[in-house]
Amino acid sequence: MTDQSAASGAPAREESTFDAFGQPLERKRPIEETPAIVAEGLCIAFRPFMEKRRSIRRHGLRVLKRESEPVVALDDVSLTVRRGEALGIIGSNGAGKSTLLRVLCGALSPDSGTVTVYANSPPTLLALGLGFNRSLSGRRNIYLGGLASGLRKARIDEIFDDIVAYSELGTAIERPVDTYSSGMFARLAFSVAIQSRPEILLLDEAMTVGDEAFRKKSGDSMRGLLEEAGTIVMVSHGLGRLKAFCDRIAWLDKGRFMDVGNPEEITDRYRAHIGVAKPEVEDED
Amino acid sequence: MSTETPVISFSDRRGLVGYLADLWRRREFAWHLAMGNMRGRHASTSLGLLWWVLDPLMLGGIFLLVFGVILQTRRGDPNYIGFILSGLFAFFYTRRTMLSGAMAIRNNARMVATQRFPRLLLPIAAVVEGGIAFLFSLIPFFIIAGSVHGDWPGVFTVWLIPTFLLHTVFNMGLSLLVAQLVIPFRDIENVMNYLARVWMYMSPVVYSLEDRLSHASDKVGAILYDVLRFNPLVPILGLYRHALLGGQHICSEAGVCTQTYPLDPTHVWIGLGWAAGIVVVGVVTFVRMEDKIPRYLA
Repeated sequence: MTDQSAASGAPAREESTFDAFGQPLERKRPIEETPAIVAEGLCIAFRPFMEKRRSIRRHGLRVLKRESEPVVALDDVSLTVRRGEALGIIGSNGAGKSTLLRVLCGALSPDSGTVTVYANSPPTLLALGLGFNRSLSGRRNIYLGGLASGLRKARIDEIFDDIVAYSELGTAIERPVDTYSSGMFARLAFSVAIQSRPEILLLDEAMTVGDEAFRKKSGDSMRGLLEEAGTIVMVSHGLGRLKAFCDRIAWLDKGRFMDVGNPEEITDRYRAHIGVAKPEVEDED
Repeated sequence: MSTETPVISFSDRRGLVGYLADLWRRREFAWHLAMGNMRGRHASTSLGLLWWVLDPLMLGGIFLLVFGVILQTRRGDPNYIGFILSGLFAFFYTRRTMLSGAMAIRNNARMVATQRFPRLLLPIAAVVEGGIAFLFSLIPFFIIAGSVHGDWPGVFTVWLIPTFLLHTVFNMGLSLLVAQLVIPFRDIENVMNYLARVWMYMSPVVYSLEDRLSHASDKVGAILYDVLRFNPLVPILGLYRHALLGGQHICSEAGVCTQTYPLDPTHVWIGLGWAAGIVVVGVVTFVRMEDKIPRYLA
């Protein structure tokens, strides 16, 4: 992003203003002391053969040898997300950030540990354009996307007009999605995500926001989504972005929970830990 | 305040009943996914949905040419068209669910990685898709077999409903078994096509087991007959033949006519047994391994 310098220069985070995409962000929900998500003692170990190429022969050998060392993605991670807060997660590559989000939304079940969610619906891990079939019309994709993210058809019927209005696609909604520009596609995908109004939004920047063109065009929509959501847990490689936006930051290192707390303090310690002195490096993406 | 908030715990073991209730709650998703895939497949063609009729028509044409005209598999039967088409279309329902069931999880890998939902919905969508395609193929069946041999629908056609249901349950179980086997053993994907082909030729699709093998004089033929009779598609195709070709009669010189494809009660029981058995095994094993599925896709 070109306008990152504005973000690191605006540390007025008490008002929860944030500039990821050029304009300040207004959070609509207050932070409460009651928890939204309580995760306790999460452990996940992946067996390495899953990353390797699979074949019957290797399976046979593995059964005989049993030499596979499990790769620990999460090692006894406990975390409480307060209602209404924006919690950022930092950590270097392979720290388990994405895995943690997938566990928190219930898509991946941990080897041990529990996740308890205090909400009407499970947390939504934002996956833009999920369930879309590009050869079908925008209209059909609204239904496909909504159903894929757990909405019922009757509910989609209710919010359908809002989705179309928000996407500003007009009559193009009847056209096949593969005739859309990347900006139009982004607007449609965001509209479905925003109008389904997730109570708890989990955001993995690396996973949700695709290429640069898509990211630029999705700036406004992302802001709208973040403003609407009650509770947010987000993973980003932009340290400055997280620092400015999040109320608290949690730090993972090699699957271990290091600490959680004040964004300034945690990011400073994290930077010292990985040996980066200059804050300029923080928005390298 | 927090006391009023509902609590969702992921670690709760839901049990089979809870799981099936979840599944039922999300049934619209499976239906729309299947319909979306069907529409999407021919969305950019000018004939569009007509392809769902044209596809089986062309498939039937090829088989009729090769097995009916050139090889004359059914020399004795005046109605080889009805025989081959009924077997072929029914078999292709199973084939289709088997092949797309194998891809069901991987084609939706992103969904599996990021969403919490009963994964059983994905192979179910594959079965729904195959079932609709099969129902479409009945249109060309009745047109061809009807116009050539007068195999129009009759009272016997009512049997199509229970037969279709039984077949669908069987395909569901099969699709679930394939879907979960393919995930740890991706190699199976590669042999799937060949398995389907072998299965077709081992089933009474283009030939009748009784005609070809029951009077086999050689030992191999006799053993083969005993083995192939256990093929679950034997009762299923038998039921279809009654439902679709029940109007055919063979008349003796004395004028006594009997149905060519009478209802065979053993087909009903054996078919039911297979369908129930495979779907129970399929569902139970799938639900048990479901939590492990995302790990293979990570």
